[in-house]
Amino acid sequence: MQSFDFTVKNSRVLESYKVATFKGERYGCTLSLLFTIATLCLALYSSLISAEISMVEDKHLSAQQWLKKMQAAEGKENYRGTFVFMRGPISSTMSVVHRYQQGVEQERLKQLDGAMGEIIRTGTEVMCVFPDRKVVQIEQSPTSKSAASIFANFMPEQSEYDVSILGVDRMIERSCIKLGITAMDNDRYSYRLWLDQATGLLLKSTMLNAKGEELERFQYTQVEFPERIIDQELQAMNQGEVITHEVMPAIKAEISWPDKMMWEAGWTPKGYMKVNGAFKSGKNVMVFSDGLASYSVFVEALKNDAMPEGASQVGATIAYSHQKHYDEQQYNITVIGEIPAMTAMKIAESVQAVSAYKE
Amino acid sequence: MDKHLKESLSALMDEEANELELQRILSTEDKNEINACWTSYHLVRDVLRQSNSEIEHIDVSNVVSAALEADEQFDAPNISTENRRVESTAIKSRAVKSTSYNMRNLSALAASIAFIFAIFWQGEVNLPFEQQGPIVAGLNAEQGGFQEASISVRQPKMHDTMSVEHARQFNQYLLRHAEHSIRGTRSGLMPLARVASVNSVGI
Repeated sequence: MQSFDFTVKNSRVLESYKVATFKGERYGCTLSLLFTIATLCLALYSSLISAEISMVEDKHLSAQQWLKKMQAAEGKENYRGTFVFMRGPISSTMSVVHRYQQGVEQERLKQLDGAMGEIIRTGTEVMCVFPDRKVVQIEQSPTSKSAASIFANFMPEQSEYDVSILGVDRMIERSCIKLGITAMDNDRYSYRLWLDQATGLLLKSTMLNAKGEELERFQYTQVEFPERIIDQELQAMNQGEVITHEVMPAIKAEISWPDKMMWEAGWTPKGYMKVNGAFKSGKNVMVFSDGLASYSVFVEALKNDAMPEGASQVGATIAYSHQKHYDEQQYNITVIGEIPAMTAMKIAESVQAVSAYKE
Repeated sequence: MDKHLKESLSALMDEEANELELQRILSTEDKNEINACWTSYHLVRDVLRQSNSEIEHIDVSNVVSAALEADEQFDAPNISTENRRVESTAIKSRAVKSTSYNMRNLSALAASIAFIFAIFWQGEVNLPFEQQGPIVAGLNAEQGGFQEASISVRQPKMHDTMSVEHARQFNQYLLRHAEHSIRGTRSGLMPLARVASVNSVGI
């Protein structure tokens, strides 16, 4: 009996143990479930809090910080969209696909009006595919990489521009921050920028002259931010059977160009900085920027096909060509950039030959 | 323009015009003349207050120096060259401070400056500033101690139209310029969009 009792007792103990174990498992399951839910809630809550903080931070960004955010978005966001680009009376509709992957920017611009032309960019390499299936590629100049690193942290100075937040607006169903960048003198243009509040991407911009006339307008009509962009989207559609493929030199330096001949701009508008720091002899191109606008100065031996002297303008871009006689040789100086014609002329006419480059 | 009308305009500018003066201005038929005078008065006021950035850069020191040089040939042998260099931004104050000038030199200086401003008043600086060229000023003659100045305003020569070849050359420079501007700038897509928008002409 004892044994029975013992067995019964034991079996009861066993039962109660099993029940307890079962209950314990249940409690364990419940606890782990509760713990999981709590963790998820906490994660959700913290993400909401961080999103809210980010929104609050965004609301308190200064105009300069918005410019930095815009620059980061232009390079490091994946986006595709359609935009209208107007330069004076010329209007074009284009599509863009931009990808940032493994530290490399890739971009494809496609003309949607008239004959189809495309521009493919990988990093700083640019390839233009023209409607006649002519491919033009720009030779990489040593200035572009050094210029890029200097440009990266070069902010427009408050003494040259009045940079301010003009308010909140709405473009293509997205909330935007509108920035006003007003030139403080006549050597640069003014801008109005509409930045996507969520990403910082530039959704619309206008460039205005001193009289407030609009010289250039860029405006998205549709944009999306996909997580992933496949390689095919970045390939030229128009390339097909390429008729001609030419590599355009960054500067048409004459072979007989004296090796150590150097030129300099005698006058630089206030606030502009020479950004091609690694400038070497024989490559007579100079690039200047004030943090927003930039212009390039080319000095070349005069050829028959040189641009006619004077100013040629398309929208906000001016190209001023000036011929100069130096040391029994005729040179052509071309200033091109988004600057007023008067400023371009003064720069071009101030360019002069200086002493040879010293190693 | 009638002297009284000018006075009325001046009073209006100073917010001191009475009803009669206002009516005189409003009833004048030649509105262009009034506009020109109104613009000139504003320009002069800006210059005197040194708040006109459009003409701040104009350097008249060479003109004034040349005027003094020319005048010196007659009767101002003791004035140093350094004293004669008058910077455009400080021209009035320094002219006043230069007490060593004799009256004739001061007259010549005043005449030169007055002449230059008179040229502006006649409307040349009413052009949009972007279309103006650098001011090239020079004195070329003198008679009886007073200077006769010539001044020319040079504007950038603008090509209103471009031939296909000209447009291609423009595009080539545009492409090279874009190559320098694409990375790291705040221009975003703009440099390439500018190139793409001229695709119809080609390169």
